[in-house]
Amino acid sequence: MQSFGFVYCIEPWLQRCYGAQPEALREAQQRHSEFFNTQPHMASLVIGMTCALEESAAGSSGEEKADKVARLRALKAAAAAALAGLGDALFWGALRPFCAALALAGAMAFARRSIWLAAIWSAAAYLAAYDLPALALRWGFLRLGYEWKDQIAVRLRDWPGQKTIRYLRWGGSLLALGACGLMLWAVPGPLRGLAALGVAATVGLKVLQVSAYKLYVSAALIGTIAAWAGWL
Amino acid sequence: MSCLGAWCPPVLAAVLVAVLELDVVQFGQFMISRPLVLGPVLGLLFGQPQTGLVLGACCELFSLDDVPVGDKLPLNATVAVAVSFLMICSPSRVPPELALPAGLLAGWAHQKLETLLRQRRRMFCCQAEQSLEQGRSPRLGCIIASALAEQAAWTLGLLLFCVLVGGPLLQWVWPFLPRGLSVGLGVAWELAPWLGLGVLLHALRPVR
Repeated sequence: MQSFGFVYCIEPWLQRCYGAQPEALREAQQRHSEFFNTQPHMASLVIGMTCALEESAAGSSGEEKADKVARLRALKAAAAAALAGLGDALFWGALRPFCAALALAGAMAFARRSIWLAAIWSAAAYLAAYDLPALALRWGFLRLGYEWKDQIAVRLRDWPGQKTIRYLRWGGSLLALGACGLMLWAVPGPLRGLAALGVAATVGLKVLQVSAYKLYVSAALIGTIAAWAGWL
Repeated sequence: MSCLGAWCPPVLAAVLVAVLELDVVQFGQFMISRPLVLGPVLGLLFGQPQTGLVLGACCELFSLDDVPVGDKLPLNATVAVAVSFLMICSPSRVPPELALPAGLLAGWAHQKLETLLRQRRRMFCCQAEQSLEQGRSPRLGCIIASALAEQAAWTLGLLLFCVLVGGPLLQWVWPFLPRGLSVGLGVAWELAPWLGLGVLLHALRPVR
């Protein structure tokens, strides 16, 4: 379905390029309805690039146009695949956990004063921390994709994506540790050690690729067995 | 408030969630649907911010490393947090230790439902491809709008089923559960935030 979303996005531009040539417009729609899959926030870079290359193809004819269209297809597929990897690591792997850590740490700090404030902070901080950079990048990438055209791969080499991911992870780790400290502080003394042990055990089990849902079900099963055995 | 009137806020909230759920994958991805946003918002609307915050945090952290990469469809954390919260805050008043696993189960059911919906959406793609082959421009706006409406309608159906049927059923079942099982669910509920923190720390670990 992403391919038709892509066609829907660039349709006004295609109409502008091929408005007077209905057959060429239909061909352009058909070539963009081919399989397309990338990280949604990075798609605007591909859309910008495609618009620039379609504009260039529309201005040429014959064999030159065929060459440009073939190049466009190859570049679009390559860019979508490469940007998906970068986008997944940046947005899903770094920015989203960072936002969760920020919202959680703030909420834990505010919860001591007012739980209402904590809830408002959680929703507002998450949305602001995610959407401000994400929307700026979406809009900026559209423009940059149009400007960079087929030079996307070369230009992205200088883009500090990996550095940003590293900083977000470090910042997020510190915030998560802060949230963990505040939560442990709120727990009564004897249970504090158990709670810390639970966090450490989860980190260890996650390294072994055990999903959080399985850990939750396991906790329920262990509790049930302990209750039946008379330990709880 | 009459018995029927008491069900109005959860039903209206279910309609809101069904629309916001489109933000998960289909439309926008502005993160309005993330549990750590939706949970507190529902909590504020229902006057129970703590419940919303705790459920939102648990579902958010559980689903943190379960990402929609490629055609992988993770458990729907939005549906999970909404069902858990609405079961607790609806007149059925399901205990939180039972509502959270019920919500996660609903999120898993939505994942299966969406797999079927995605297969159905291929039909829309075939229609659009046929239009192009026949030399007609497909009405993409209408196709996309109907796909979104269908997704929202099925989500609403699932939410209403869970809240209006599942909630009262669980409330009725709860006193008959063996003591061991209810203690086990209680232990898992107490441990859930700590498990979530462990997931968060793991998700943010430095990677070379």
